[in-house]
Amino acid sequence: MDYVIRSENLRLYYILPRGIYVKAVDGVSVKIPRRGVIGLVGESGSGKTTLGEGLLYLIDPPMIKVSGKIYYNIQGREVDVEKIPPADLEKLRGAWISYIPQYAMDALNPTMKIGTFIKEAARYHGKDPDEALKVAVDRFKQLGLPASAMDRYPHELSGGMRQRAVVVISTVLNPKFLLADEPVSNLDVVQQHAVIDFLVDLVESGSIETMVIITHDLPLILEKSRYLLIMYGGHVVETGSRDEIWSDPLHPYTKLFLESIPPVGVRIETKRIKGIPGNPPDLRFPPPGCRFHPRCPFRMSVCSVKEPPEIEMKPGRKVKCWLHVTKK
Amino acid sequence: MPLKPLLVVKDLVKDYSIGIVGRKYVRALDKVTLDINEKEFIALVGESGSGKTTLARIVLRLTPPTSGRVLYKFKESDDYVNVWSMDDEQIRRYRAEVQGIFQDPYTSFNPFYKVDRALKVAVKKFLGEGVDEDKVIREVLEAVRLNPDEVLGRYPHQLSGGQLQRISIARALIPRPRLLIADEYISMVDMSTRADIINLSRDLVDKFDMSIVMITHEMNMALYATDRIIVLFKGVVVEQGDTREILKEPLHPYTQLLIEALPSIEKRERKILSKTIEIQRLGLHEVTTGCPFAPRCPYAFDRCKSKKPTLTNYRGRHMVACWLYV
Repeated sequence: MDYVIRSENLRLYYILPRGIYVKAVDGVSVKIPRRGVIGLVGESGSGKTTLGEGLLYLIDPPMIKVSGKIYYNIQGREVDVEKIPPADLEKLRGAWISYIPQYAMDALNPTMKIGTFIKEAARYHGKDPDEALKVAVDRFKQLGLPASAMDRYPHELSGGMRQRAVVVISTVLNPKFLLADEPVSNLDVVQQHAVIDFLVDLVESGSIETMVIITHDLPLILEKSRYLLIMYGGHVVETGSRDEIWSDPLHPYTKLFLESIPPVGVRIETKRIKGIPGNPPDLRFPPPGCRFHPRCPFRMSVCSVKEPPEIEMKPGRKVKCWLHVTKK
Repeated sequence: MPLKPLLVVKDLVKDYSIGIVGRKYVRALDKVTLDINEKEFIALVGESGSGKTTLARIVLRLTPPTSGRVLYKFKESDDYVNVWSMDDEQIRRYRAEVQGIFQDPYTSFNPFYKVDRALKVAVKKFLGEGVDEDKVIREVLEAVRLNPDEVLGRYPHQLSGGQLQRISIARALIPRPRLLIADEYISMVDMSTRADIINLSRDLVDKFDMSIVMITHEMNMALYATDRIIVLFKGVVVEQGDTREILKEPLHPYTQLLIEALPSIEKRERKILSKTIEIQRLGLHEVTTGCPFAPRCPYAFDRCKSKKPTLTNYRGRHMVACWLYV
């Protein structure tokens, strides 16, 4: 499977006082496939944002990398991120790789007008600043932002406008790879669709090659993506194409998560939708074995003792669950 | 004779002034009229800026209205009392019979105390001394399907959002309320456990003879489990009716938009949504004095922009405020 980024046995922990670690990402080996919209899905505390930042090598204390490797596949060559000189890595960011962080509306430099910031960023990456500004104005229009917003400071725009401005800024240099962390969570429904569809269009038109959307919103990402990575308790528990995951979820967590969302038109009197019983693990003290086993209705004795291996059913289709060990 | 509603909201208006010296006002609620019946599970659906939280706060006596009335019929009484002109004794009873639950369960509990304390305080406040405190607490925790031994003795940060939100509900149940106003109480709970909170709410309505008003922006949960939906847009009730009617035939373009916007795995046409995005993209929306949705509405005609439609009966209890249906 052709991929853009891959990790090998990546462990990213947060250091707490008294020598306690939050094991937010705990042994993750994934390949982010090239091309299209990819969903990295998990609920709060699953480690999805940490994994995203790890893949971008944005690892700063209190987050530490305990083990593992991250590789970028740039123009057919696999590069170990840690071997890229910091200056080159800095250049890769923004031009080859771009990031829309969570709460992005607060991520703008307050001392610069939006337009100035865009020109500076273009200049830094050796692109024509006026050309970048032209692209940005055009994209502002697509998102219903007036061109005059370019002459504004971030604080002069509303939250929803800032959010859209960040989306445009992060995509203006047409990065090959974009990671967007909950890019629409604070917007109204019309804006949500406008922004997501704008991003999806950039991917479909080829301006951006690969986009990973980090989200807790399983229904939304099922609609918009072609490939999914499902996270639970610091592990990637299942990967596969959207259609495979939708029609044949392999991990019990994925299956129960899909079943926990009422489809439109289903009424409680006719079909009672069940949530997943229990609570997500405390990643300071994760349970032994499979991290889902305390909530899993299919658990076996091995599940509470030994961490399940990752089983590759076929290229790109993986599951981390003992149920599939013998079936392979 | 039809049953008399439990609570009536009549022509409720709330203006907030903005700025310190200027006399500029923002109208958060614009003549909202609705009623809440006994044993009813209602969804008040709206997005941020719709006035839904303001409405909850006025009903819960936390924010006074600018004008209009909230009328409440006490247990074993036939008369209505204006919630905002109650005497002390009535306020005390009202606070027991009408309970509120709020969005962020982590800020609803004092982080320095075990959750037990919040429950004990509520028992003392509403049931007085001399009741078997532990028994009441265990009963309400079991009513919200929590294992008392798993949550008692814990601090808020040791519990999940879902557990804490259930404890909020348990606490609200202590005075045996007749009405629960739940403001976005599922939005901070993990998606995979939201259905359980909704199922629980449904069961409380059915088994404990109480009413719940779920204030939410999540149309899919409202459609799944409630009896009635009231749609609020920019301080105006644009549509209300039995949930199954609304599911079958949403009338107001805004309601249609909210249902269209729900994610779906099958490709579906989103007529209103795509037109609304287009209107916004082209910057066509202008401020009008008519229907608040007119600036974004793909069906808007001249009258919509100049005159506000009023909420009128369409069929049975199904009401809509839209010129398309006049």
